[in-house]
Amino acid sequence: MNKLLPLFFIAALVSFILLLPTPTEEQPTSTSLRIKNASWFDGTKWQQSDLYINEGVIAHPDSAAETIDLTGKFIIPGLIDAHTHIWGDAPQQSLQFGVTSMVDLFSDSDVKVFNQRIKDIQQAQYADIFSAGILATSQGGHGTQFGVTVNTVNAPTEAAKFVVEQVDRGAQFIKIVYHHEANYGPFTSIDRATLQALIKAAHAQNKLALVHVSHLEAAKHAIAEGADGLVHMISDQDIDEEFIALAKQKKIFIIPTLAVIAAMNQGHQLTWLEPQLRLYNRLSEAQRQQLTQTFNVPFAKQNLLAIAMRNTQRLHQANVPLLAGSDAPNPGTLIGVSLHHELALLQQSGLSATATLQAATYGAALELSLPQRGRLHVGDRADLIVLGKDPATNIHHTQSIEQVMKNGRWIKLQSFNTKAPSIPITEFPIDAAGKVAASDFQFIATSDQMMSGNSSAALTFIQGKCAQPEILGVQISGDIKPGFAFPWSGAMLNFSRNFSASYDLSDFTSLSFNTAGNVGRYRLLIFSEHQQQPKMITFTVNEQCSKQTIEFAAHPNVNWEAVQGLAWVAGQEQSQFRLLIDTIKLNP
Amino acid sequence: MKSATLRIYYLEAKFEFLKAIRVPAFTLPSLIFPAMFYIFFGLMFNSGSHPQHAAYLMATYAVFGIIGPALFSFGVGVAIEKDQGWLQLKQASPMPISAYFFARAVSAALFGLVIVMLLFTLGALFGDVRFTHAEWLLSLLALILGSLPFAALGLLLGLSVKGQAAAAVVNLIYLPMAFLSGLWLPIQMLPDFFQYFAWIFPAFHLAQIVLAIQEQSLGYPIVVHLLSLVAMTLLFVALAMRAYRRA
Repeated sequence: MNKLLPLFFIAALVSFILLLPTPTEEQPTSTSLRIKNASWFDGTKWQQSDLYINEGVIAHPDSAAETIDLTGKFIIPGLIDAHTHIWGDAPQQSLQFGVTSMVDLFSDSDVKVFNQRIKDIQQAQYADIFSAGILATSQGGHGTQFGVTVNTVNAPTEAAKFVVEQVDRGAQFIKIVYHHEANYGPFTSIDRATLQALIKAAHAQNKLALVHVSHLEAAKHAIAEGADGLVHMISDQDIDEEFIALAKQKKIFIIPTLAVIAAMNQGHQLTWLEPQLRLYNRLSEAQRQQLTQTFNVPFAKQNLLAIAMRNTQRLHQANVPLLAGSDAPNPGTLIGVSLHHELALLQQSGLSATATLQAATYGAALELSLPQRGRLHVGDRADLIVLGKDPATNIHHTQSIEQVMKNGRWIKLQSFNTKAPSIPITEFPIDAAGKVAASDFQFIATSDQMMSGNSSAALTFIQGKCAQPEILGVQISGDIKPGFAFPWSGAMLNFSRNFSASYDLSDFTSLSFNTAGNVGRYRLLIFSEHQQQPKMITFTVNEQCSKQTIEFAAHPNVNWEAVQGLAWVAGQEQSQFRLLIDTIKLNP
Repeated sequence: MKSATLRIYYLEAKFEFLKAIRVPAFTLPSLIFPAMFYIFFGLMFNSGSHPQHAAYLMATYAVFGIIGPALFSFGVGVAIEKDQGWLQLKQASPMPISAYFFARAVSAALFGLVIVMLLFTLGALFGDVRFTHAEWLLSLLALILGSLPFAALGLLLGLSVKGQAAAAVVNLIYLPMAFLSGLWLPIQMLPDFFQYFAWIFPAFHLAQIVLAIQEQSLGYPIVVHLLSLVAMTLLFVALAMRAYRRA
């Protein structure tokens, strides 16, 4: 009896554990699947037969497969965005819009993590990222202005070391920034000898050399020196026969990135985003607004989109391979979404719908050597999109996304068109530590030190001369020093610890606050959802107290519906300064 | 010979356990308090705002639950028996004295097991807690083994303080430690300072280990907490051995 006791005890314990409830499996369809009655594009041509998927890849017919009927639907391979910059949750977000592979042409991401994920056929949360790591540019060249540490390449002798460093970090390509003149706009450029050395070094490491150029002359140099691809379309002038002949002879490809060129220097409209297709309604108002933003390229012309589209058309007629790439998340573009814009612009430039689809699927995979991607042949990754409308009749129909599959698993598609909650407080009484009563809001010092700049800021929370007695204000003592392209220093009011919460301020008409301090111009920054750069509103400060009122109606480009935080900062006009802010109030 | 020694350990443990459950003043609070607190704070006040709330507090109240018997059995039980001369008698008897401590450890662990099973059942039935079998089993094992550092701490207290004072001293350590280690409220809800202060408590480290199994810990490597616990246990044992030699 005593000998059985331990056995009995263990048996009771085991049955207890086994009786406890376990999570229900969420991914029942990782086994064999047969899709019938859909038209599908295999990356080069349209097919009508059944499509089989097993263990995350396209498979041979299997009679045991579970069948789903997609009558009237259209399937295309998961899209490849051949020009992006990976930042934050881009790998997750892009899947939401059918982009299952992305080429990262410069970010300071951990490339080895991406390379691990590329191999992982079980994962279905992230798009595959094929990354170039850090770009090769000169000191003060394009690419050094973003606050990412860039080891510049300033002489041909430094080329090989740079390339080996990138390859060791896991880079799949070498990206090079080049201009044919030593200075252009605010930037410098590597010289032609360094360009040549970099391309040679890339080829010695068996990597493609992808060159960023915007001017015809620079493009000719790049091709002549052996570049494998250009990552933007030439937009300074119409290309000539010499260039076309050179491109054909050297068998280069071009990623036109018309979507980002469209955002340069002139605002663009959302005519390409079709309100009756699903994509439109899944985007928030703020995201749609972001797609209309513009940015100034000081040395570029006004009609550069028209030039770039003409050049795209001529190169397509000359059979030079074109790859779809959006250059998101630049201003005016959105990760995942803007590739649909790029497709629309390619079609508008004269590519047939099928040729456009190829540019974003097998065409891109072939030129960039992305194995198992962009095509739906047996053994290829089961990355695909189910569309409600036929993209072969109109490329805008890629926006009729109904389902997305990554590695054989369906992605849960979400809508971003949700409203942020109303802000819970209208006044912001702070304590001596800068915490706002009855909320998670907190004042913190902010400066360009977070972008490796040299400015500094310190906050104290004191009884100021502008407010009622007993009410504390924010006293900023800051020092603006050069070191970052856009120096700043000031106080930030965070609505949550890590920008995870947004609040709707649009029920109010204005924001007011009192200021006093060193005379000058200061800025209110508004951080809001889906706008990676804060919006700036300037105000003037005097020694005496003055009340500032920011009328929301006067600033329609701010997404007042989903604000994540506010900041009061000084910019490069200031050096050492003191600024007091108090009595911050939202007015109905 | 060997089996006879084993039998001593077995019998001592068995009767220690029987003795413990026959003292309702010990049994009932140990069993009921963790469950009652969990029902209040983990299940009833869980408005559904945080889906992992029930699982989180199930883990921390289980830690709270297993500490009680270990700390009281050793801290109070040993102190009283030491004062009554019972410990001296045991020392004088032919039975190895380790059997006495072993019996208490097993008894405390068994009590802990009952408490943990009770909390798991409550969490599963009313808190909608869902783990894989491996996660359930690992949580249970971590909790049961996790009673050891507290047995060591209890032993140190039991050998160091007088029987009459023991209950007060143990409670004075037990309850504040439980609160400050984030066993009653998630540690993230305490001010930042306390999140660092908690590192001095073994209860904090055990809670983080159990929470790590359900991926709800603060995110420090589990081995850091494990090493902290081992180090603390060794320290308690060393100090207890010194106190034992003096007693």
